[in-house]
Amino acid sequence: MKEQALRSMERRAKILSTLIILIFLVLLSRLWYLQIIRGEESYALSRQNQTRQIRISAPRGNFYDRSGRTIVTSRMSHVVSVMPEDIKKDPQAMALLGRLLDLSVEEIEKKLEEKSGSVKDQYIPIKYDVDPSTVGKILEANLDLPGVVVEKYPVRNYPLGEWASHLIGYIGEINEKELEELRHLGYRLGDQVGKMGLEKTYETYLRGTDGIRIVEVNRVSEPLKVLEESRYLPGNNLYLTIDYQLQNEAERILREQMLWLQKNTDYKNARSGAVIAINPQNGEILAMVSYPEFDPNLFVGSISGQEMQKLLTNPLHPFTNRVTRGGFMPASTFKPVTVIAALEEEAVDLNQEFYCSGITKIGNATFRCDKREGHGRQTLVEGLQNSCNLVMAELGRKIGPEKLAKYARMFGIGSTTGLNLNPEEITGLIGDPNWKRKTRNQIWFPMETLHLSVGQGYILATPIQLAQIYSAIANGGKFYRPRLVTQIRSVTGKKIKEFPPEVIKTVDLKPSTLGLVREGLQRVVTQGSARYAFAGFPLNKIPVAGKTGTAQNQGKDNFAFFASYAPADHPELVIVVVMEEGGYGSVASAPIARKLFEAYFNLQSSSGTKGQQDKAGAAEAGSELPPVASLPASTQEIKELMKMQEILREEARAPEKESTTHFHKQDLT
Amino acid sequence: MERRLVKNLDFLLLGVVLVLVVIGLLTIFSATRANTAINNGNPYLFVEKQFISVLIGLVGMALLIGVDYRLSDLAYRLIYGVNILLLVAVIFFGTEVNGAKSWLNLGFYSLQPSEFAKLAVILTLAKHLSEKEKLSSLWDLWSPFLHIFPPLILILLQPDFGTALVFVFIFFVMLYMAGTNGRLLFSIILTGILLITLIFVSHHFFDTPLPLKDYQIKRLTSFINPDADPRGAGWNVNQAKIAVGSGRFFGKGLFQNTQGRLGFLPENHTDFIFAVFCEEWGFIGGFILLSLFLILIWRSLRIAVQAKERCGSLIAIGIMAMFTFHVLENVGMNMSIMPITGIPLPFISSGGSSMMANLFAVGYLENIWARRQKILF
Repeated sequence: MKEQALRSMERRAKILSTLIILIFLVLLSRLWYLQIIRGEESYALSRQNQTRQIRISAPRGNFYDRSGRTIVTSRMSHVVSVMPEDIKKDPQAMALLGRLLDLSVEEIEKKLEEKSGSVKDQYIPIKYDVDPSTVGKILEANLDLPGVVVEKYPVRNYPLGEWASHLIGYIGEINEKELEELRHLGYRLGDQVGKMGLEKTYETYLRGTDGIRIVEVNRVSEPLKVLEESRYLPGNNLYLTIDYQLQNEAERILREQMLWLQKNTDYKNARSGAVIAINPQNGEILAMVSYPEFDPNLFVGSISGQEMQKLLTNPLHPFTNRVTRGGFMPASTFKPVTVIAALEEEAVDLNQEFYCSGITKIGNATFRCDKREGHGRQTLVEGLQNSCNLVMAELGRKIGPEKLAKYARMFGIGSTTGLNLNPEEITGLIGDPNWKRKTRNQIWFPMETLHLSVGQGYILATPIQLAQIYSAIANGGKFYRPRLVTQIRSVTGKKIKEFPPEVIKTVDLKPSTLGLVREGLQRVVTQGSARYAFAGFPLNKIPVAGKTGTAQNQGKDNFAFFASYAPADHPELVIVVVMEEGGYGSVASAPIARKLFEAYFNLQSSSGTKGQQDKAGAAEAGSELPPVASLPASTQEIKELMKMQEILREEARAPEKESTTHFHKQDLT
Repeated sequence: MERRLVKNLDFLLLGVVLVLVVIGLLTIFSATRANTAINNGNPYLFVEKQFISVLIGLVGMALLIGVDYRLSDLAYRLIYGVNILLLVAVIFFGTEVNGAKSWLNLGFYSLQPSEFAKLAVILTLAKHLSEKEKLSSLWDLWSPFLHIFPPLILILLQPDFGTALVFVFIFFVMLYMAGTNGRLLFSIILTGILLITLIFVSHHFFDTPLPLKDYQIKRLTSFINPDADPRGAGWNVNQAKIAVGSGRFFGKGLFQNTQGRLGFLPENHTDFIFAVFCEEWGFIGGFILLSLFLILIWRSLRIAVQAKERCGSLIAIGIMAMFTFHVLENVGMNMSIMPITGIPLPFISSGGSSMMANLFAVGYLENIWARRQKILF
């Protein structure tokens, strides 16, 4: 019995030990599975548990003007970020944070919702650019605010406010579309990116490399120590072609001129315009103003919906860069091209004479000169000097619309100038019979040739295109790529990219042609429509050449143009001024160019005072009326023109997709 | 005779236990040294406490080796009585920690009677079973069941579900090794499982009350799907799994655990100390630790088989069953293949009562081993 019991026990002990070994095999294989097969994964998870990554935002690159003056920079501010998991557990902390930051709990939760999807265990910025006193309060209450951190970060700073805002642009939080495009470059939700202007054009250069600090945290996300840190690298700096002084003057003078017009003339709606100053010898843009402007600082931090709405619904479209995206009928400023076309095509002689009776007819339609009684006998130079419509009409008739359009295109109308600036410039428009047949299946009316020859009809040009035309006239036919940036340099001064002068194309012009046109343009200033604006200007020292233009506008006041360059004998600067609803080019726009030339050439301003300007204005009003522009004669003509406007408006919109496109309804001069 | 006794000790067993104790102290230090919330700024606090328990345990062990394990009937009754008394006392005067009244605060020391209860039940049950002539019918088993029920019920009243499970495991292993009819035992276990299943099924379909509280069930079942409640019941399971896994093959190195030190893994010096150990020592360490436990269990079984008489044999079996279940359950729950029940890893987990009771148990094993040869007496 005992023996049997002992045997039974040994047997059972064997079974038991088998079981035990099985248990240990199970435990060991589980250990193997967890540590070897799933080991790397778990290691990553433990690492994720243990560490928090804090991005240290790198400041964007600065902008400097051509003399090295700081235009755009960054200042250090504070951002409040939270670890969503920590704050969500603690409604009291959430409420306290909301109170301190002046945000509702719902707003905070919304921000967390929006951004927590993509990344785990990352602090999510709740409020940018928090003022120092709030920062102090948050730091004091940090025991009651688990998972809330205050970090220093660089804020984009535009110390000059609205100054040159269209070319500088602004930055804002990246949106989904931009993120998709830029993700491969390491962009992430919450990043600030350039949204417009140079900020957007050179985004990838301006953006620095963020630093990363990896901190060890405990379960309640309290940072314990820094495990790793990589320093940030600031973005590259832009060296602009812009001349701070000249840009300053351009903005001030344009503004003052508009105020002066509003106060002293019937042109109460002179509230918007554009100025561009460009060096015709290399394409450097020294000043570029589009008015009204906006303050890019508004977009730093977060712009309030109300302010944004106000900017967006402003009928003057402050976000539109009129220099590159305003399509205008160039009116009389186009006339030099007509003259060049006729001379180059050898349709006329240099000394050919014309006769202006003040009116001409094609069938029943009439075409008038600005001067009702006519200019009488006119040479080509005189035609240009006096802006005689009939001379131009005759030239147009002689060469035909195809050739006219060909020269307009040759001079850049209908294509972009090559300026590298966001948003992209519009191409403008130039039509000819072929184009009209193709696009709208209509025949070309002979009258339309006359319109085209005086810069009206199927023609739209941007101020920068006009500046390119006048640069080419000034420099002998060369089209330089207009530039806003000469260099991009790293913080250490290393040259990253250089933008040397670049001739995009050259138009071969006979010296005689150039000579005649230049002579004509110079005479505009000395004896023609711009002579009052330049009264007292030392033209003997700095000869100026230019052309006024006045475009009548259905339901609006006239648009005033002036395109010019100086010194006429060896041009250094081209200035184009456009003032919407400013009235006459000679009154509204030419004085602006004059003052800018004075500023540029450091001349003592002799007509800067109000009195003189008044006098100039009065003189113009007295002697130059009837106006530079003529009214269409018949109601038939007006109807036709209105229809044409509709067509043109659509045409101008077509190449641009964005709704911000600015288009100017214009009639013919 | 003393010298012969010493000569007859199982030194491998003793050595393994001492190595385990040292590993335990080191791991406790690593897990608690940086946790100022519980160590009051003294990184050595838990190690010191544990070390004192080790010393007491070793002295007790030595004493237990010296005294013949074959005690009088009176002594057995006394052990049983004192055990019940302590378990009753803990229900009335116990301190509640984590929802269970398991601790008796003696002012200078917090005693966990259920840890000693295991040993007490093993000793008295072994004595009882060794006196049983027959264990072949259900009727024969009424007295062992009656023997185990009072302490088991008292433990469940705390409630300490984990320890109760240990009791059940020990009970059946001892019954089995005592020679209970295999089929009978199997039917009982099967009936038990069916019964428990029935209770849950009935709860599920007819909403009948369960003997467990909701949170206990959650804790028990969280290992099956920890992601159902990753921040609550599933947290420990996931974090322990991460800790073990992140050790990979070679481990992060001594004192390099992050899961425990930074507070992601709670109870890292008690229930989840295995995870901390595996995080620092990797698969190599885990393999060695499990091997040490296997040796411990193997030696216990060997002692049981070679014991001079039935009672000693059953005591050794009970102790072996206790170690086995503790290791299986604790290591298993650290790797989320067993439900979370707060039972410690022998010789490793921080906890004085457990350490002492386990060292006393080893004392008994050595006692039984040293006296296996008739010649001695």
